[in-house]
Amino acid sequence: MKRFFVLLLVCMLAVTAVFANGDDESATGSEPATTSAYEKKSIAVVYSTFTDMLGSEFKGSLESLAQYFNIDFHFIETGYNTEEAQAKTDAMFQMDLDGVIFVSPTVATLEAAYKRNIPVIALNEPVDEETGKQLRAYPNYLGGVVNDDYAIGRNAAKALYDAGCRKICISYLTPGTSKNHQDRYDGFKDALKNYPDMIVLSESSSRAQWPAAVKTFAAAFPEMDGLFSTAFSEPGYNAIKKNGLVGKFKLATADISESTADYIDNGVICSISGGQYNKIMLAFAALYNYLYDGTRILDTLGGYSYTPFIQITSSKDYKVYEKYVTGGTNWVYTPQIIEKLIMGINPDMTPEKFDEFCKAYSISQVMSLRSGN
Amino acid sequence: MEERDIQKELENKAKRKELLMNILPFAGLILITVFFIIVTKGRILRVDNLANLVNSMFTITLASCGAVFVYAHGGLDFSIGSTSGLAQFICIFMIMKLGLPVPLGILGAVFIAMAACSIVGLASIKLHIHPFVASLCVKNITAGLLSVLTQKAGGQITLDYSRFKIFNSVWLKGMVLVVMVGLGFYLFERTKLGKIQKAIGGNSRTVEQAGISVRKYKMLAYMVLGFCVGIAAFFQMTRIGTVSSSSGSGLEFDIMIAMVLGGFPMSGGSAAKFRQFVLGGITMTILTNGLTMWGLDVSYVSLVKGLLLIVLVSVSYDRSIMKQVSIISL
Amino acid sequence: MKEAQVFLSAKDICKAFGPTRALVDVNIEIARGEVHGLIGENGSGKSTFSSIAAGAQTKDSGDFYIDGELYSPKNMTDAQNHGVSMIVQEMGTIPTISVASNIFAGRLEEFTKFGIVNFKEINRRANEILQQIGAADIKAETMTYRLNFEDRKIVEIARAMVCDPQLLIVDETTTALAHKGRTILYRLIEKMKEENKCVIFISHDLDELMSVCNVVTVLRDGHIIDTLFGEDITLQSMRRLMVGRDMADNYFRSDYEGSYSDEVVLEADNVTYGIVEKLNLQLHRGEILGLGGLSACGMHELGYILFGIAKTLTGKVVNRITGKEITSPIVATANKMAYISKERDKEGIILNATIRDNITVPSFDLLSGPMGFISTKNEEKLAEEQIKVMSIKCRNSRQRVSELSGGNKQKVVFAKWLARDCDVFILDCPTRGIDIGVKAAMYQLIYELKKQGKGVIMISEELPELIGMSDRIVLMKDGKITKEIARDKSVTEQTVIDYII
Repeated sequence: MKRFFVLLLVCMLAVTAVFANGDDESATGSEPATTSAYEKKSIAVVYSTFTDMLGSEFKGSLESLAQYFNIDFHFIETGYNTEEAQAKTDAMFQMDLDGVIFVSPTVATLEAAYKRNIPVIALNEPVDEETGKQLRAYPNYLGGVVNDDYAIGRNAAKALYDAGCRKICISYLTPGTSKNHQDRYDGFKDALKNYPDMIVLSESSSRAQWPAAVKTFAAAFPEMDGLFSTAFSEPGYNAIKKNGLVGKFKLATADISESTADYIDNGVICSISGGQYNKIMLAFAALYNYLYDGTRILDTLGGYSYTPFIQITSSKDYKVYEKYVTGGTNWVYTPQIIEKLIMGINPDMTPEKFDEFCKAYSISQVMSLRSGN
Repeated sequence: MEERDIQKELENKAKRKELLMNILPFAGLILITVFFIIVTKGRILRVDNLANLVNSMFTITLASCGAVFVYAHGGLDFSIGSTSGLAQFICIFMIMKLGLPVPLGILGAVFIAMAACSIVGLASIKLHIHPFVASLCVKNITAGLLSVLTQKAGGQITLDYSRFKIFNSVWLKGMVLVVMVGLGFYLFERTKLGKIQKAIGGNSRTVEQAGISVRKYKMLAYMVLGFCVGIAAFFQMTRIGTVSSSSGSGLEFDIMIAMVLGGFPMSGGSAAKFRQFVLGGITMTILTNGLTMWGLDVSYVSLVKGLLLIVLVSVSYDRSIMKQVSIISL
Repeated sequence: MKEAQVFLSAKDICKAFGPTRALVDVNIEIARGEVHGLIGENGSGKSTFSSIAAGAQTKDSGDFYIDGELYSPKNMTDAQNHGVSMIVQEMGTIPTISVASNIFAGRLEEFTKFGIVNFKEINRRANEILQQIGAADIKAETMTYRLNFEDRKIVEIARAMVCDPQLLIVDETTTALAHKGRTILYRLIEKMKEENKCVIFISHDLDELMSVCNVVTVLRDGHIIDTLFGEDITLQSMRRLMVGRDMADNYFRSDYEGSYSDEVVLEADNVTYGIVEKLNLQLHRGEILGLGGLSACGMHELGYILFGIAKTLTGKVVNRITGKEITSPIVATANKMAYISKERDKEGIILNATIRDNITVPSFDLLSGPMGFISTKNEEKLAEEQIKVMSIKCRNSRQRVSELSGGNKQKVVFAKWLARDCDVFILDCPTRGIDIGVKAAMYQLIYELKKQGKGVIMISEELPELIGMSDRIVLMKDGKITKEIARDKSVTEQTVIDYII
């Protein structure tokens, strides 16, 4: 029995070694493309997972730029275990990289990158003062293109209040798991100060509990008329439908998915934001500025450029969103659009214009950019 | 004379089996290493990466040095992950917020970790709660404390990285590893501290009736584990640079994987050997490191990892010790 | 010898477990009308042989024939279909189901139509069988856990009779039975004999074998030694064939004077625990003190009390050599006392550990050098010494204890204490489940300890052993001492029995 397994293992490994090729050959997006006008660059992209909604949008949107810009992207999934994440990042630096896009870089990462002269761009602001200070001390830290997560929370609070909700339940992530979610939560709580007659009945924090949170809240608090969730997903919508809760309360949340349109139409959703993967494409643009000719486009902006979420309030909006923003074959920015953001290629581009472009992200901007496509 | 020949042959067969049992755990490791050398085209052996390997296996190997004592007597501890996190927090708090010198911080981490593990030990020994349950309770307590404390501190505390670069030096870590592993091996395989754990794991009543305090030695095992986790926590803290509510989590699972990969018997006993844990830890590290270096498309990574683990385990894990000759078959 | 019609014949049967050869070229014929006894020491192969014949294990080589035709059972049910049925030695009923379900275990399909089991029919058949074997007081519908140990064994007997076997194998069943059970079994065996069917009877009790069997085959170390018929079946001949040498008078002790010094080495003063109540006992230097009674009389508990395993509620146990009160095994061993439990596999030995690891357990402090270092060489030396002294039959000190026979396991248990220098030995059922040869060696060892001036307490349920070995016998009943008898030639089981029942 044991010998069988040893043989099996050896065969499996041999087969895999021969057929599943690693980096060099099948790096995403690089068919023998000699059509690109640009030098080959190798960029690592680091995030907790590329298989959830946002993660796959991150991956897909970058892959759509790979051929045009002649980039080998290496996607490194770090999982949620900090120790393992660090190990993976360390291993990653074994590859010959020209740049790193890192959602939330640690000082240790910057140090490792610095030793090898590799620029790093972030997708989140530093977690606290101290980290920010240390990160900025590194010359290879390019800053980041970040979301204003506070705004989500603030907008959600306003939207719920305007819709007439006064008794709210909150579903969020355990503090420390994600800064984005934490900021949305903080933004919401801050905004609550402006609405003293809107009260919070209960809060719950657990990733898997969104559908469960819906059920529990609805059962325990029948008087709930509004729900703020720092993110939402299909199972959550199903839970609302299955438990006959459509119309019982209003939902304000983030992360747009398939059922969003339906739930806007039937009045459940009063405020939803999403489409935030654009920031990775913008971050790429900022990074590429540096890779192309050393331009540090974010320096004069204070290191960070903010890009909002897309706000959807009607199913018409959703249709536009679906057409141009949700991934698949169409990503919100085409390679040509990105190209125009590179100062070395487009002499008209300036840091201020870049910043404006980032800030203007909305349904209307997308429509105007892509009309004619 | 034919009888004696047959007897001799049977004895040789038994000897060969013994030899095989000793070699198999290494087999898995060698197989994996060769596989990854081929697949990463040698990059895995680069000096840089060797440094990475030392860094990656540091925590698990250090924790193993202590875990081996607890698991050998049939105990276990599922709380060490969050205990490490709490230890890291106390340490970083003492150093960054209270401005205390580093050695005191290390002492703080060790103290907390030993306290937590001792609680697991006490609960399972005095209150007769199965260590599985006891450690889950402690896990909740330490994780909860960590969560509350980090929240009060604003989400996380960050290290002044430049001050602590020296603790990330591969040479320092290498030396610490050598010392701890050496000490661990000595205590486990060559002193009564370890031998008694193995005996307890085999049959605690026999040990009790032989005039040895099973309680005392079980407690000692948990304290040794706590000590090792505390030290590991300190180095985890310096490596990552921040401590948040998820710090340290998962350590107990890594230990279990290392245990299984190395062929360490799950219920302890005399078949337990120190090197099994260490081997398992190294194998696991190479597996993780190699998978990353390979650059395999992310969607396949989990699948390949799972497959490799299954086959590795069946190669190195020896079940024949558990087999019982039974003549009843209904 | 009249011409016998052979039912089962075995030719050159061989079976090995790893390096241990359990059966070597075994040739036996079981004829109709025979109650054929199989005897031998533990490890002689008798249980192995019968379990192979009953389909519970497979042979390595050789052939079985039933009525001249090749017989190779794939499992126990297959064997039963060929008319061979066995009552197994170990506890073989499932407590959580009914008696009827146990009796028909594995055969429920015969009563199933369209997926529904006809329990009424099963119960009826079961009650029928129970009545047939004379156990009508056990009802088929009863849940098995409600039955006592003996009745459960009777259920096993019923189960073995379901297929109306031609050959019934009884493997050490009588040890679990009291009067009622034995009567049922003997009657059943008698019936099989009358109906010209056959029985294979395995037991350690030579007296029983003499009364029940008309043919006896002796095995030793996996080989058939000889077969005895009718009048040739005597205690002496059986013993001689089993061990290979004459045992006769030197089995226990050769002297009949109980001699021990006046010096008290261990004293139980007014102790209470479990069924034992306010008991007083003294052990003297150079004395073998036998403690006897029925299993539940409290003597085993007394053993626990004396060694400190159980805490006495009143009074105290004192080691008079050192003057210390014995409150726990740790204190006991520190005061040079030794304890051998009656549960060998559960308490006395670490099954999955090597012989060496078992022997060294109480001696870690002795072996520890500077910085607590215990050298493997010293451990090895200690183990090897004991293996030699005790003549432990094994491959080497690194062999796992679970591979040893019962007798050798017990030798390891003794060895671990002999490696220390103990003054007081408390032995609980020291020769239980051990074959004759090792038993004799144990008795010699115990006698040797007495001569060295040690104090030995021997707790035993075997009266012959107590009478044969003790300087003084203390009998117990219901937690109290009922009688003290000094060693004397005239003491017999009859003398003793009245004080224990």
